Amino acid sequence: MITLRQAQTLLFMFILGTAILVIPSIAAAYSKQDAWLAVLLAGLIGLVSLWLVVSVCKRVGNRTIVEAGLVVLGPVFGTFLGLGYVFFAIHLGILVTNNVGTFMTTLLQPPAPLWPFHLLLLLVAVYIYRLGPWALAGFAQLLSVTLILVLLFGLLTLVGQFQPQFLRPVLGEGWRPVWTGSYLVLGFPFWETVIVTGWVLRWVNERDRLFRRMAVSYGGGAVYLATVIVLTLMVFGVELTSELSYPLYSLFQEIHVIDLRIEGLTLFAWLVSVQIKATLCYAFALDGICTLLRTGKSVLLTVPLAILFVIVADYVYPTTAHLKQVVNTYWPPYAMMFGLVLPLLLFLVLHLRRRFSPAFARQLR
Amino acid sequence: MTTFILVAFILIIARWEWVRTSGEKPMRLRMTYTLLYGINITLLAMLQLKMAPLNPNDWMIWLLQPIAEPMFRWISGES
Repeated sequence: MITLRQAQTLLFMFILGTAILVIPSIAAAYSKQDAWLAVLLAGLIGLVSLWLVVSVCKRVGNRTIVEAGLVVLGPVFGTFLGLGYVFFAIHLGILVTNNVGTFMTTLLQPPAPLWPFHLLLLLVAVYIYRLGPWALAGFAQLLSVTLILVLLFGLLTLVGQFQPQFLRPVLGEGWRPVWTGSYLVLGFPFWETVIVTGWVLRWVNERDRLFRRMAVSYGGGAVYLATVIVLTLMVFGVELTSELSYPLYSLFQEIHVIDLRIEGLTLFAWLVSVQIKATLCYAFALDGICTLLRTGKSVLLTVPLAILFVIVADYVYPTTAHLKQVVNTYWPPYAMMFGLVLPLLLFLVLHLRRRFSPAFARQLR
Repeated sequence: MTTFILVAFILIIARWEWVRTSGEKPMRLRMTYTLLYGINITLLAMLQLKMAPLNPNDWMIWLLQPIAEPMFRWISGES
């Protein structure tokens, strides 16, 4: 079992994983100087999804969303829904794994192949999964401090380079660009959080004020991302921010403290959050498979699933154009389907069955 | 040659893991275990034969083709 605070930390780290480095450029490309507003708006809208997932999982006795699907929709439709979620978790985990390899081979080790970085990430994921959810939660709790320190350090050391005029005019082109940016940010990372909320509540030992406390963590993630965007925009401006692949990393390259290079700090913070995000996707997929097989937790599938992640992550984005097409056009509705539409369906069916089937209502109690 | 060595290595891991893991192994678990290793080896073979391997992004694009682009154009005000 894990504490509610640890579950909050997992959600916070999941939101920041991968997004912390790339969201500034994605949001700035569409929302320009209002990118920070787009992230806050997305965080606010995304709360609906969080509420739905927490409500459904809590009402079926703090189970995972895959288990909730089986309870609410029955063994046939529930299995189809569960398979969908397992596929989504594997897909997301593969994309997150690819992000690490791409970043490493683009900026740090250009001639290196992707797979060694993927393999390292997955070896840690397998080890953490075998230790149990408490190990993942403890790992996240311990290293979340790093993320906070990195942001504070950036704020303090970059303060002399801030140019607040880069943030004006606020809503200069109206709400349309803000909505567009919000739509993309909702898909990545806010609707994806179904993977963590739909898995973690099963292991939480406290059940009071569950939604409120998870919402605090959700809001914390949104504010953190918005702050990173504000910092990036105030130093680089809209044009440069939207052109850079990893604006936060470039931002820390601008910091000069007694001639030391400290961009490695962002690299460390990012790797920590990405490791947690990838491990959560991996754990969700494995537990989902075991639930659907009705076998209980099994370590037997850990290695073949990790190998699958490593192999597919190597070729999942054949070109940069493919990556942009996937992230901008297809990922938001895809994440919406799993993060909003299916939890809403589960919520409605759950309520209808509770109302019209006394036997089902008794079963839930 | 590299693919051949990789496949052999994966099969050795699969065998070692199977023997090492104690406890009940129901038929569904056995089948899923075989399926996952089967997918891994098939993907490696497809890459070796320069065939387009299975990509989850392609399935997502196929599934959402009718709605994703009109939705994005509508939200961004392009249509």
